[in-house]
Amino acid sequence: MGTVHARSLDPLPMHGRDLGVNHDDMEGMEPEQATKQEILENRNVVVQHVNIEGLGRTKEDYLGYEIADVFNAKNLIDVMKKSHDARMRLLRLGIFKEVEVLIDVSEGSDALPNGLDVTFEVTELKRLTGSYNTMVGNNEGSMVLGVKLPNALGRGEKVTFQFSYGTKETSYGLSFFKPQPGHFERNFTLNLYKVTGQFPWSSLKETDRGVSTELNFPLWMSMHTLKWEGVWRELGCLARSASFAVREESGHSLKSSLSHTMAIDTRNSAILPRRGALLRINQELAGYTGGDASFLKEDVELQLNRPFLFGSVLSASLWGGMLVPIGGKPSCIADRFYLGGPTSVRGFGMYSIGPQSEGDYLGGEAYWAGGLHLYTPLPFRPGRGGFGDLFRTHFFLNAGNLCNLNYGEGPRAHLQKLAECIRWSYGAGIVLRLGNIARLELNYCIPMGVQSGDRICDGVQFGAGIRFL
Amino acid sequence: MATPMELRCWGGDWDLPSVHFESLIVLAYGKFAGAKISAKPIDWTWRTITATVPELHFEGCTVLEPMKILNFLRKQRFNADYELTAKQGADTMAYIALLEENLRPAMLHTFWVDAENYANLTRPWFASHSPFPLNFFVPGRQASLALSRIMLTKAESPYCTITEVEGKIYSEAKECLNLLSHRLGTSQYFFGNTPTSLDAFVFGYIAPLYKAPLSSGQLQQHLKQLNNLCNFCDVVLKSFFTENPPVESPPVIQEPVDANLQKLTQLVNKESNLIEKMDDNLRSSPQHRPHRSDHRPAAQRSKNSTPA
Amino acid sequence: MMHRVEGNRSLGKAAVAPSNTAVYEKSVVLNSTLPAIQSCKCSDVAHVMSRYMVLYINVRVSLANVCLRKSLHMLSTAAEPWPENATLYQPLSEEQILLSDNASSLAVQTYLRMCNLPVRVSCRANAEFMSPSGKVPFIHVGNQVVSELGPIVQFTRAKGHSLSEGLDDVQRAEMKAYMELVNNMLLTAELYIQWCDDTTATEVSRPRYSSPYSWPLNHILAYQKQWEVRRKMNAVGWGGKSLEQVYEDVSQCCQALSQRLGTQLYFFNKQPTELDALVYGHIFTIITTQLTNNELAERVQNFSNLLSFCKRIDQTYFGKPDESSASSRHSKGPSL
Repeated sequence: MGTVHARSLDPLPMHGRDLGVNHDDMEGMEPEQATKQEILENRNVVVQHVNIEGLGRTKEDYLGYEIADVFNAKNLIDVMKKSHDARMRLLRLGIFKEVEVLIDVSEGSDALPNGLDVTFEVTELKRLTGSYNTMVGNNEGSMVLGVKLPNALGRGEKVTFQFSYGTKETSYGLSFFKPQPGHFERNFTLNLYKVTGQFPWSSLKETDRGVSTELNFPLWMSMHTLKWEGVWRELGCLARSASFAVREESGHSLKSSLSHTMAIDTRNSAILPRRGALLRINQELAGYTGGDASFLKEDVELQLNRPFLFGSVLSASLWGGMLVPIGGKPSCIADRFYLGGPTSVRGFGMYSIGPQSEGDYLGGEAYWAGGLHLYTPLPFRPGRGGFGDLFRTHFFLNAGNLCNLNYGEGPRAHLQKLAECIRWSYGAGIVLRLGNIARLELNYCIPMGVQSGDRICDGVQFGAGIRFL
Repeated sequence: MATPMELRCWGGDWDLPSVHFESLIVLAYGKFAGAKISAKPIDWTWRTITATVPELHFEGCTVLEPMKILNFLRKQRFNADYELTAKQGADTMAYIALLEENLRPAMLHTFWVDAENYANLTRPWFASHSPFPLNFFVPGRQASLALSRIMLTKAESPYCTITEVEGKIYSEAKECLNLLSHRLGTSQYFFGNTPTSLDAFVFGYIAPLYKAPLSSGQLQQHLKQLNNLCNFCDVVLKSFFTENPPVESPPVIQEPVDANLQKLTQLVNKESNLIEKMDDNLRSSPQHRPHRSDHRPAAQRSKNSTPA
Repeated sequence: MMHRVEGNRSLGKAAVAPSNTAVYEKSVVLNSTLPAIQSCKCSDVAHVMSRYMVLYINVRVSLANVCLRKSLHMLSTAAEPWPENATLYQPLSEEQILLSDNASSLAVQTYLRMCNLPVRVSCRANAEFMSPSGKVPFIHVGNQVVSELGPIVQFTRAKGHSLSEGLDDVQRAEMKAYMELVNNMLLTAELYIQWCDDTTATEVSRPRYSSPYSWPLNHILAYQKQWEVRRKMNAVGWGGKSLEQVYEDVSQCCQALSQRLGTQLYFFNKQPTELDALVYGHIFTIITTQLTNNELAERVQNFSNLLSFCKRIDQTYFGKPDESSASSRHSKGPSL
């Protein structure tokens, strides 16, 4: 028996590193696999050795967990499948540039007749990788310098540093990532950052310098994140014409918060899913561990998708959130919720719903928003199977409300307040998927239920976002 | 004086004895007080980058900063403010503060930060007056010092840009020039017919602005509309800084002072002339007559300086 | 996308398009309206101005200065109503405010009382950051925000309230010169003593300045402020001064003020001006404030006419403890 190049025979799609390719386009291959299995499944084999070649700074014990399963293979198909799985697991660690699998009959004195040796030939990523970008916006430019140290200590630790030097401000971020050996999903991250954000809809400028630690772990079907964040926030007016309500919020504050996020995501794609559901619940408690800001914040996101007629997809989503200030101090403008814009309640200006003062939106302490979408492929399906598959047309109906609550009134009054003056809109447009992280939308919207003070965007609205209703 | 005082300063140009306004203050004061100061330009030496100008050397002492140099000169009995009353002394301080706060930022801006002036006038001048490798650094260093001073003293908040500050400092400076013009009125100098330290300061600040061939000079244009200030500059230049001074110059107008009045003035000065009070040595000792009045009988001087 | 405080706080946040050009647009509008105003008849002016006043919101003070001065002569007779809810903002008077800020705040309060313009004093921990110029105090009148005494004087003059109307040009020059003397010497000396004298900075200024903030932000902000002030001191040539020299400067400045005041009631005889408010604000605060030692107050107390001048203004304008501003002012003094 000669050397089997696992890669060439591998019946499964291999897209470990090309996350951009979507799973849902690969469905037709399964029957083919089944026929091969019949032929080969009876050959009993024993995996005697598993070697990893090409290791430099990576510690072997760290990889042991990832490849251990290969030893349990009982027949050739099993070996191939498990080798493939192990390869995927290795690639997922983000420390190898390339992993090839070689399956060969065992050689040497202790070789069994049906013994196999599996060899993983790995190429490690460089010790240090750098990137350089320039970004030009209107009236400003910035230079982004990134440095990444994959596998810094030999057990999958990753150190990344990003520095952006702009004409208006500089920001930086330093993060250290450490996975638990054998359980890549259980990991720990430490971040150190400074970011500056400008929020023209509130005439607000915010500079944050902070430290955060994050613990991620899977539990049954869900992903959990526990996080502590200590952040020094500096708020200022973006322009001298900022309203006095925003001016009053200016200054420094310290927020120390504990937060927990639970997410269950069964969708087949994050951006244009065909089926599956997403439930994300986030709660944040600030002030308990020190700092000036004290509040409890709850935020829920639910999205359901199911295939509909003629390749179209029906999608429904619901968001809701509430911020409860603790200790009698009013909430800070930077903590409150904002609603509106091309990726939430369409047809309204960016974050331009709800309480405002002299045209500066102040955000609200409670909100909800819901959306109903019908996604269809492009009419006549131009560019089918290629570029055209990145596009969808959609028809949508959005609704939502954002307001402040008076906590003396009780829950019934709150619900009533949120049910009054609902903003809603409907329309249609085109969605473009950008990789697997963001999407662009060009919509024609008709806003309804507009309240005084809201900024609307009647007609064509363009937007990009990573989170969308 | 056996050894003449030596002032390290930037050299002259544009019909001025020095192009540097702080040096000009000291030079003018020296002339007003009758001190023999030999200006020693630092041009084309390595001191262009190391020295703090103006710098006065006298018998082993080194004095920096115009204010301190003026005090030092007073201590050396070169006092141009001798005849001022206490209130006039107070006014001198106040107006000097006005110049510092309101005119100086705009002056620095006009010469060092305004791109057109800096590129066409200031940088070429200072570069051509510095020795070879330094000519690349001297102007830039001065310019960044000037900019940081303006930003630190006049920028309202850390986020202010220079363009936002410009409007403010120029309107302040124009107002300041107007006020000086009002204050001067039709008199020859700020306190009558004799120049004093205030005149030295005003001259030091406005003469470069008046004389320099600036390509972008909103402040200069404003100054040129104020005839009495321009006239003041011309008079000082003509009377004190011309090579062959006209006869009777400096024009010390020696009106016959009533002996009693003189004595009274002296008494008041001794009590309260705050400029003299700047150094403790003087407080306990009798006031020195300025050298400028040396021609007066020595007997009268000794009598005056020890009041009964 | 609705929280801005989201789990994965990425650098991408910086990419939000900025738009702080609005202020210029507003000032341009204002400038272009001026010729129109000037061509109106005088009787219409007040009406037109009140309409355009809306445009003045937070327009840069300097621009406002230029514009306001242009229209000043027309407005001098028509005094605009002063809104009831005019508010003066300053740092927390009990535990936070520092000598220099307190002096500036008192000067503005005194000036407004001299003009007979009522103002409510509001103490905010973030007053410094609320102020458009980063300096306290500032006043919020209608929808306009003006900070520091100089611009506030300009502002009230534009509204038809002025104390220096009766002065001639030379007197006005003199007044301005003495005001700059106070800023140049007294204010700088106060800042120097607060932040550059290590004992005062450690025992008084840093703890007070940072009192509203929690650890570790309090230390960060206090040192940041100290560093900022020291840089400024170096820029104006005060960095190399010794404490003794600074006290000597204060003495000199007070002597100049004392000489100028002489035996007059106010600096310009019978009528108080903004100079009187400024001098009172600083002198009164210095003599009523307890620092680590009494050196500063003692230097000032040598000038008896300045002391009686302060007493006189205190009695005339703060005699009746009727408003909140008076009570806050009295409580602040000895605590620093």
